[in-house]
Amino acid sequence: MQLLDWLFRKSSDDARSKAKDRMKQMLIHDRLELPPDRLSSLEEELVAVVCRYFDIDRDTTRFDLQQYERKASLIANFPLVRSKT
Amino acid sequence: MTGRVIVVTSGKGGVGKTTASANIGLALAASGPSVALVDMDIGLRNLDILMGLENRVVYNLVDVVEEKCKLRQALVKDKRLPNLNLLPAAQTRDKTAVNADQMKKLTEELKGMFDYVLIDSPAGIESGFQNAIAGAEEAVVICTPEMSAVRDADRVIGLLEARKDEISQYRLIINRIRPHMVKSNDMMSVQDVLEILSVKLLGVVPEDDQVIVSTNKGEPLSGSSDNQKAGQAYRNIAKRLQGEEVPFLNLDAMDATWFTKVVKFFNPARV
Amino acid sequence: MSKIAIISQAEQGVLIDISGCSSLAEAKQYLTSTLQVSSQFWEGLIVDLNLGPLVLTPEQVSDIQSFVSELGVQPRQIFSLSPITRASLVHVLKSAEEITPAHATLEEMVAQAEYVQPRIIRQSEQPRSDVLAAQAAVGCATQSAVMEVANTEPPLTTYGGSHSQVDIEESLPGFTVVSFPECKTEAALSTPLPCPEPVSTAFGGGQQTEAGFAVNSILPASKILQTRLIAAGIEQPPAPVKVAPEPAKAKALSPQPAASSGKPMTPAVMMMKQTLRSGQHVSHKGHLVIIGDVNPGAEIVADGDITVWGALRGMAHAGANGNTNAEIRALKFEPLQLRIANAIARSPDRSKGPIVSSGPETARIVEGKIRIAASDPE
Repeated sequence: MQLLDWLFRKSSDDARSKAKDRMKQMLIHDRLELPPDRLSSLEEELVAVVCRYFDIDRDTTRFDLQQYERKASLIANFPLVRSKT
Repeated sequence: MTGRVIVVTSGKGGVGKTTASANIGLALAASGPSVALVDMDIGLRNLDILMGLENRVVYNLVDVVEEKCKLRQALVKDKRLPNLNLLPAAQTRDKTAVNADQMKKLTEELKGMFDYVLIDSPAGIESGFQNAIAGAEEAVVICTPEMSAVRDADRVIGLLEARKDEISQYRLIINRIRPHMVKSNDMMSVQDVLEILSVKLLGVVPEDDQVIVSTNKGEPLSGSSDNQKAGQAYRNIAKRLQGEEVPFLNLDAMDATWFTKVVKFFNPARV
Repeated sequence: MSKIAIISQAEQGVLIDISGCSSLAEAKQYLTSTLQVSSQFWEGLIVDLNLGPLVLTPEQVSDIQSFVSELGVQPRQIFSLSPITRASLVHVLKSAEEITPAHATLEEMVAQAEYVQPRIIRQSEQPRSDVLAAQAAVGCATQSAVMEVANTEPPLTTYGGSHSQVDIEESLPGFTVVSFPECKTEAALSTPLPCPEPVSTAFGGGQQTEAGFAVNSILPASKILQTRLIAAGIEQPPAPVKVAPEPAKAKALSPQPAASSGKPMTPAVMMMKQTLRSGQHVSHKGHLVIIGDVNPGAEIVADGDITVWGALRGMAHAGANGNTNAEIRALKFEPLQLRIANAIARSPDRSKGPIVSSGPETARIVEGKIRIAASDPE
């Protein structure tokens, strides 16, 4: 059973993937010289704006930074439920 | 003659800058072109020891800059290859003994004498590093697959990018890869590091106990023709610097077994 | 030319001479690397500062003043060759007076308006026996060494204002230029030693030489970067000294005959009791005696002989002024490189096996090449 676990273990638990994920986040912050709380306050503000127009599904909201080449981009995904009247 | 000025740098200390400089220098010279190795780690000179030339150092880089001697006098000829020369750092001075303008002037002069000028930069990103990159046209960034080394390499790459006008290209060497640890997902792989840093790869050097042996002997690995892992990697790097297309060492093949192949079959993401 | 010179006199205090520096930044850099011993070290020391030809604005003058005081140095007098700098000094003094009127020492200096020549007077004159004993104590005192020490230099008193650093060095062979970044204060050396009395604590063990001299080669009172200078003079030629049979050797070290100077003096011996580590550099215009090891990466340079009571693993350069008769002696001879005058010898390459030292050895030039032989006390 252990063998099967090892064979099919999800790759996100191991040291290598952890390092890689942490590295990516860290470098985005390093490169942008981004203070740690800046992103969450931006998210709050954006959500507040969107909520004025739409009901959104807060459980599946995605809001993070990703890098492509050596550039970072902000990925925000607010699934809309209905528009406000 | 207009040589290429290449700085070897890393940000973090202890990742193998000096070892890489010595090995690449020797491998380049072994294939023909004339090479000058410049130790810019003023106050902490070590390149002479790796080259086994520590007992031949008479003058040093600071003496040249301060015009206490001629450049020719300060260059230490390698005992193996006459076309390989070392310009040692001063040991009893510190990084403030030279400035960027003096380094530019010095590299200009060296460019006229050698096909390749390899500058071994000190660790850090302060004045010593700034001086080391002052006259450089290309950069080789060394890092190991550890988070701290990758982060520092990223910082250095950022600083090199800011000097795009002077430094036309920079490439990465990933040092001390341990294939078995990558395989067991305990260490970042070459691909992982490249993905994070988004930079061109110049070479991959596996962890090799022979590196320590060669340091003790004062004979860089790349000089001997045995097929040592790290030595071969450095010879390949030298070839790539000269524009040759050499496939990267297949580290997976080094200790791949039928078992890992089976794993790969079941779960390609894992290997 | 030296960028910085620390010239010391027991009674005169210490003159920090940065006249070799061409800019304020350079001066500060040399001051940092040389003065940063410890702030207590400079406490109570009389210190003068010679700026030489440096041209400084009032801001820069106060900058350098606060800079040296941060390093723990309070200059009593500041000398300058530049009228602009002198004017700046006056300006700074006046503005300082408005805040604190207690700046008498600097005022003295400014009151003299003209460039005041820093005066260095050689005054510590010790019996030659001390110097001999210092040499004898390291087990290698040869007759030639005795001869060299016995020879004389003209008396030295002052150097003039228009003189450069080179003049200072040339005219004061007994004084040393110390430039090593870090050094710990050696308790044994900072103990004031009464001059003529034999003091054994200097070596920590009271080593007596055959001749019965105790070692007293350390300058009393003044604390100088814990390296001591001896300006040992001979008032009366001591009887037990034999004259070496090699007059050429003696000539090489001190070209002026003893008779030409009214008051014969010996070249100085500097003795340091500490291990010299990588990156440290000691140079001295006379003989150099190191009680301790000289590690790889350290450099010791002397115009005279070098004697290491310990292992010599770094670079040693004796006879740096061209004296081909200088010698290097060490208990354990494992140097990376040896230089005597203009000759250089390097250790064998590592591939040929490690260097094995076989007891005390002496290196000297024989037929133009450096030869190392077992020390023969004769």
